[in-house]
Amino acid sequence: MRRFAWALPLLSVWLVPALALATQVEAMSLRELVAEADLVIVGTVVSNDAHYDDQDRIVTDATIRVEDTLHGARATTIVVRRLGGVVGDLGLQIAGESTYPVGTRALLFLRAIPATDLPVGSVVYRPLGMSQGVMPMLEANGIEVVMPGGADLTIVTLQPNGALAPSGPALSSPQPRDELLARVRDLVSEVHGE
Amino acid sequence: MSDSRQECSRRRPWAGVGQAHGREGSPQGADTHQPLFVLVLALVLALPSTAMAWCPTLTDGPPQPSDFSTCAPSLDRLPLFWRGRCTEISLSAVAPSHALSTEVVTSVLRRAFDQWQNADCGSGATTGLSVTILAETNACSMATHNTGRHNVHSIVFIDDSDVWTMTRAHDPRAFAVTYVWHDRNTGEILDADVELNESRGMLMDCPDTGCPDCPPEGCGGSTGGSVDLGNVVTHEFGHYFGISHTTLAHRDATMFAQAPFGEITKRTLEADDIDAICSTYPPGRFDDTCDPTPLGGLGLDCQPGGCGCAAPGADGNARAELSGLLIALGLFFARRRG
Repeated sequence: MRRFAWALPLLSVWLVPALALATQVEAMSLRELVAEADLVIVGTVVSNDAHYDDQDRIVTDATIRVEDTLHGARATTIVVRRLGGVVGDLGLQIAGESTYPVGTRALLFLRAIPATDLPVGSVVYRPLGMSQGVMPMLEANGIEVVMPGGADLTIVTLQPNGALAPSGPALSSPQPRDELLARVRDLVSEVHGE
Repeated sequence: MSDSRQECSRRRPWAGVGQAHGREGSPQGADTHQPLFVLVLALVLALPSTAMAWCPTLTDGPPQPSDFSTCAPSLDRLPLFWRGRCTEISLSAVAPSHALSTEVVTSVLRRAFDQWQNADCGSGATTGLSVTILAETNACSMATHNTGRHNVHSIVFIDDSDVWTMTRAHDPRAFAVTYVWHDRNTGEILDADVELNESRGMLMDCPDTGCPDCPPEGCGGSTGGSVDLGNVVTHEFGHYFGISHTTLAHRDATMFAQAPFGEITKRTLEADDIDAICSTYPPGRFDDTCDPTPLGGLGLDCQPGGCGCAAPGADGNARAELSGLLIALGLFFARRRG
């Protein structure tokens, strides 16, 4: 992974902000993320819509265009819900909630929940382990890499010896997209038998 | 403690990045990308130089840069804060703890708030913040904010894992969640509620020596165990005051995001936490005025309409009743005009 070390300052500046830390939540391994996910996809955020849910909370629904489904029901687009957001002049913040800026591309490990404020039968998705289930992707020097998700992203930085810091239990460093997706597919096959 | 705070304040913003870049023996492959690296470094160093170790909770907006040890300010987002120094909070009567008595819970909450209120900002000066834990319970089954109406800052326990994960859509591994409602234009906190996940482990008031069979640093593991209420709520009350999670460089701080089962070390504030609360509310910021009444008046009934239903005896209830009366009169005359 040392070949991606040069990109870490860039990644830490551009990507860390999109991923909030978890609210006193335990770390999850990649296997746990796969095992507990209802849906594992690669997708791009195309829009955000903040509104009140049926429990009078402000929630922000991010519409994700699905590019690759590694596990779960296939769909063209899905909705990932964030608790919090802004409606009018009122804001609601909940520490640890991931944000989904439009244009962000990510590997997402998601669980489905019923959306009782949407038409009957609708589901929205929530990331597993809060922001741990959101691993942003970007192209660095022609190679697409997947960043560690969640709280551990903050520890991804160059060390004095030039090596990458050991970080998250799911990903310890940025991973080449194709290699990581192959690992995830293997885990899906192993865990879910798909 | 104060020495540590000074050390934090003196830390050069983005030092981790700069030091790594400037050190000899850079990683293989980095040289070929040196022009871009230098550009990136220049961009990083061009960011505002008032970065902090601790992180404020901000209004919604563009991303906030941060790294291993610092939280940079954002030009487009505002830090959240309470305008008045006094607030009041109440336990839910319909969603109480099933593991701990009201007396124990109240005692733990008091100790947790006292940690923040009594933080020594230097020479014994404190922020002036004061939180009253009402003797009267409220009727909220969940965190709620009634815009323009009476409100109550509430502590809610949820012991049903399905309600926690499916209805409330919280992560099953989260010990607690704090809702901070605020004015997006000013950052003023209008309401704050804490939901505690009582289906996650065994909620306890652990002794100072540690939870059963655990060192103070916690037991680790992910399949359940004891959860110290004080450890959880001291962290959540940092959010209540508008402080976000700190950086990994301060993993011992109360406001670090992760906690193992059985941990009790977050009960007491570290230098980074004290720096956070004292910077957000520096001594002298508030005058002596103390009005803990929530925006719109105190409403223990947790309903968007109707009366204030403030129970007698609590601090600020007279004001809440007066507010409720005035609102009712206002509505009456408004309807008549209509």
